[in-house]
Amino acid sequence: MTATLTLAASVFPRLYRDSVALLALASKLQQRENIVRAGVVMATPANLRLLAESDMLPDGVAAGPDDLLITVKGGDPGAVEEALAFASTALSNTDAGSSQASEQRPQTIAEGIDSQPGATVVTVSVPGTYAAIVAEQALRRGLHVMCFSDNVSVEDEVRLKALAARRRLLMMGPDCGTAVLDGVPLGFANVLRPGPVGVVAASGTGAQEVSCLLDRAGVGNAALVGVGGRDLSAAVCGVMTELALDLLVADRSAEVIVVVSKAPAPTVAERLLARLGKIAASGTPVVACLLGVDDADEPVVVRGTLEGAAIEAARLVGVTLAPAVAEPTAGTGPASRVLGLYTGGTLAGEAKVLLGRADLPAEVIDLGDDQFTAGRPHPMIDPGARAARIVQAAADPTVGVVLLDVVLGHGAHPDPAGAVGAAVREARAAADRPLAFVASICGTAADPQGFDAQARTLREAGVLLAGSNAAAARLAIRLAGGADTEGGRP
Amino acid sequence: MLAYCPEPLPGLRRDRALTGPTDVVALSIVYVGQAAALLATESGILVPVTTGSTCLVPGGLGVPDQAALAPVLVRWLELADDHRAPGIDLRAWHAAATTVELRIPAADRAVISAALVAELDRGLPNLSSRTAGFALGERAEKLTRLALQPPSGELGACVAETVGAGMGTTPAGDDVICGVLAGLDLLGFGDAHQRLGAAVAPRLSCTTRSSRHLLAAAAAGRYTEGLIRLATALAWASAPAVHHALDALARWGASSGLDQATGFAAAVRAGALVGVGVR
Amino acid sequence: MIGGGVQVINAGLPLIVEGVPAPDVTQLDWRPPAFSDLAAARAMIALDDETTAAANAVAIAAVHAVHPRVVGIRPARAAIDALAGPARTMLHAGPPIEYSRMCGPMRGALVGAALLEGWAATPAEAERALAAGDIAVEPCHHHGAVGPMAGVVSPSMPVWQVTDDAGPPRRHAFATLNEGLGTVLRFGAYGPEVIDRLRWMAEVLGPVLDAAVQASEPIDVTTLIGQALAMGDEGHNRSVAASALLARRLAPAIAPLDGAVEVLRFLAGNDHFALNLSMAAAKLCLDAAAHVPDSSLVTVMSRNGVEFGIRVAGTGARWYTAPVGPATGLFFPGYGPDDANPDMGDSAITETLGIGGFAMAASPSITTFVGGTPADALAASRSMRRITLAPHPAFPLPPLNFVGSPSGIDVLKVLDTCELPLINTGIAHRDAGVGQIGAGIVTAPPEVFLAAVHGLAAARGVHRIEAGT
Repeated sequence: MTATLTLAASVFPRLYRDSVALLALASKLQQRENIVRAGVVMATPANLRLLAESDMLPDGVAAGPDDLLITVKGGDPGAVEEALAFASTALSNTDAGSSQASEQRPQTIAEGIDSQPGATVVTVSVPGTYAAIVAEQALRRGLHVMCFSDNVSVEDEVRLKALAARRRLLMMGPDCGTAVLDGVPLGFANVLRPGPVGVVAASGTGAQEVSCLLDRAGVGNAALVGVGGRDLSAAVCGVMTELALDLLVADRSAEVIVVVSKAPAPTVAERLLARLGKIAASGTPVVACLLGVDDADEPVVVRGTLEGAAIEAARLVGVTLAPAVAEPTAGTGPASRVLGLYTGGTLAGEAKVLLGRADLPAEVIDLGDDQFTAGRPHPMIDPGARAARIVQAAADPTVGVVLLDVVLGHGAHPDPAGAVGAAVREARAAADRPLAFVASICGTAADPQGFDAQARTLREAGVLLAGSNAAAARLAIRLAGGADTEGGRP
Repeated sequence: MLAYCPEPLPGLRRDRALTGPTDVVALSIVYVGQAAALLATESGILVPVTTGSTCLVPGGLGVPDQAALAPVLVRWLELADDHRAPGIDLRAWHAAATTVELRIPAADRAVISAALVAELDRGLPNLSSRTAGFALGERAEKLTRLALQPPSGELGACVAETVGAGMGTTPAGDDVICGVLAGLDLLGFGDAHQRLGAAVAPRLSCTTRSSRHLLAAAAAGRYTEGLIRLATALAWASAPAVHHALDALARWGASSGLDQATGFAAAVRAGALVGVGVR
Repeated sequence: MIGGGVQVINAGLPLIVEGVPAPDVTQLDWRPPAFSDLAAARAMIALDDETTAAANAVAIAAVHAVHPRVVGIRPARAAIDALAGPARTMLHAGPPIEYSRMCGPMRGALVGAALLEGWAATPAEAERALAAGDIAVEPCHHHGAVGPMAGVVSPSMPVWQVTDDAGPPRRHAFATLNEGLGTVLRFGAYGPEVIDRLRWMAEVLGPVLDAAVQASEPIDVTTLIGQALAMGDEGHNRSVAASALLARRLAPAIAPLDGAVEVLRFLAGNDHFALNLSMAAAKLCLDAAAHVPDSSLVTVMSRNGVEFGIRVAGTGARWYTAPVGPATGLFFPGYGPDDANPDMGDSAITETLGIGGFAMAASPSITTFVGGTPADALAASRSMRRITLAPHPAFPLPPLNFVGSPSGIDVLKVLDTCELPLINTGIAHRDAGVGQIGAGIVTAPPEVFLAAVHGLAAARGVHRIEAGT
């Protein structure tokens, strides 16, 4: 019955548009939710009569043959009103197609949305002082945000994430390096095969390592949601981790969920584990990869290394992923200091955990840390700073093993292994003692740099290549004369 | 009074019925679309400036190339200032233009082959207008039939239902009537043409300004160039020419050209039913 | 997982979206908002919400719903309460300013008006009375009035009175009658020729025009402006079409009246005559939104020759001001930038409504006049779309496919885009009485918008507290 339907009209005096444009508009209106029918006609008496005959002419419409009339019938007054507003906008936007249309690129978020009305995500890498403003503009307009910028205050982060959570939008970051949403990589992201594992990551390279290890074992990725390094801090309290988990669970594409983070604040960890426990209880297995935390299987599966989390996630989908065995150690170095020169923060963190457990003289430097990046590109983009430090290591007689990461994927340098290889050769030439270089590659076969080509480059430079960052750390420990405490663990 | 006087463009054509150059001394703009500009004389008569090789319109000027027209209009707008009236003076165009007779040549009448009518039907899409509220072909046949009959109130009622029906700047109902008028003209049904034209005249105020212009011209025996080509193709008994003319009509307006062809074909077919005109 | 698929707007490094299919990415040409003033940018984002959007929709609809109609031409003392006496008060253009800080042309105009009113016998006496405050001065905008250049209104001057038939309450707006070009009061001249003309305007022109208005069909100013835009006016620096249309409307009613010949001759010689009427109409339209709470719509832009001032709907009568510079543009032979007075006049009310510099596309000839190209005219109108709330439904611009002129400046959009409103203006000589020496374009100074956003934010804070109590 039409009794419950709303009918309304708009008149555009002396507005001429060709009928293709009007047909297109009418069909767009009819496709709108809750719109039953739309008429877009010149208001000639014949057209008015036709509209009236089909109950499409509201009372009191005053329009003449040279006026454009739009009538809309729909399920509720709001939908009808919105449809008429949409029609009005569509009719007034015709200048865009004219020959002198502006060439100007959109500058603001609002202008970006105007030029791409279907936009769903805003990526932000503007200077940190403005990043919060841009992110808020996007959230207020209903778009998800991936904020690569850092230097955003904790207060802003808390406010933005509260705003996002209220609107069920993702606020990934600040300082979110990676995300893969519906198979689309954002930021530093590897090309992952589609599959069953959903990852929520408060750590960029940590999530990359876990998902790459799984990918190389044939286990694909359902989604990778970065939340920024501070999300599980006491101040932010895991707001976005929780929302990301909600969305992952609701999406149903993930059969296993892995949360990757540095060790969270104790209160936050408690809350997180409780939440994960509920998810596991309702049927989706979860793995909490909390770097440096002791492994546990109850009440929630916790793993203290990235490799451990990948092995467990693989097991949960029925794939055996053995701990990577380090390559044969030709020319074992003398018992001496291990120097880790890392571009990935969480990879550095994992190495620290393992080296710490081995109780060896070691130093691990995260070259992506703010103190090294101020005013220069991230070492994953520009390998120069690390290359210089690799060469410098030759001059430090206490260093016997240099431990490295090589991160591939979109956003990363096109040939990070090449830069490492050149620096290793230079260091070897300069060193007056045996010096071992150990590396792992965080990447997949499909990454733009090519996993195999990068591996070949490293081997040719005499770098000992391990199958995972953890394996590389273990190899470094053995080379430095320590006991491998992790290798035997499944 | 001064006005912008653009240099003539190559390949200009004009309707012979666009008479004295005094009509085009000071034109104002009614509407500018992608491929046409609707100008008006000081007394309000429309002078459509259309682009394309077969798109001349009654009372109008034709520019072969769409890209050539736009700079002229832009330049005109630029030049309007204190010392020039906001008019465009197209006398030079008028003088340079080749004249085109937008009438159906009398010698070509009444030699239509049934095979070609079938060819014409095959070339037309099966149109049931989503917006006019009636099937265009049936309406055209009814109009033709009523026009061919002795005068009755029925024709006026049917015309009243058709004029102005449909969306766009030229509603589909009007296009169909133009087509029927052209079809009657081609078949030599002068009386029927006159009756239909007379029924349309009092309804002109019921449609858009540009449609009014085209209907009035069709009632006076002047049609858009595409329709003339189609009529001529039938008269020449040339199947390739029919297809060619239909292709050109299909590109005229959004659906206007084919709506006109639908009206035209229906009139020609209805003419066959009364046993006259089709061989 | 993302409803609608991943379609990205990228603000910053293209690297971030390297892996996203190109058709799904819109790369922004991002720049720091709010003229790189971080505090203002934060205030802007704090206001960028549904409350402001709803208030702005109400405000711009109110502005566009006004259809100003000419009521008549009346002596200012009868039309404007503040000028009814007995206190000696005059109005001037722009935000409030004391006589001692005024520029030369504005002082000259006030002196001339004092002489016209008989409040002083000599210019020196007038200056003393103004300096001493014996003659009070107030902004036109405080009294529903607008005046071009110095914008001086004194009690005996005839003013246009326009009204909107909507209401209650019935609202009115006023503007002086345009004196023409040359040596005129609004540029600060006060010689005998100027005073004589003003007397004639009060005694003959005003009454004749009023009688003609009363005898004619009502004049709908919105329609008049719309027609004039289609005829090459932009509604501020070029009003020749509107003036001609207005004269044509009134001529039959003027013809039978005493003084008809001199009045018609005056109208024939004054290409700017309709400007003041357009200004009064624009003022009436914008006043409809003058007190819409929470709206970031600019309701006034005006200059007093020293400062540029704006008012914003959400903070009502409050002014935000900043120093104003001279316009850039073309100078008449013999004059140059050094001779120019800083920008002056209430005429920017036209741009505030969305004509003038905003309707530049309608009038490429004006762009040429102020030193641009016709392409600049189209670009100018397009760029003003970036900072306005909606096209004006009654002012379609033919060269832009008849899309309405950009109308209703939004403080937040100005800050977000850093695009400043363009104002077409005449350039006055810095010395009183020399007159117009050129024409050009000014942009509103960023500072007024930076100040306004803080004012709006503060006003919203107050509202929140009120809502809580």
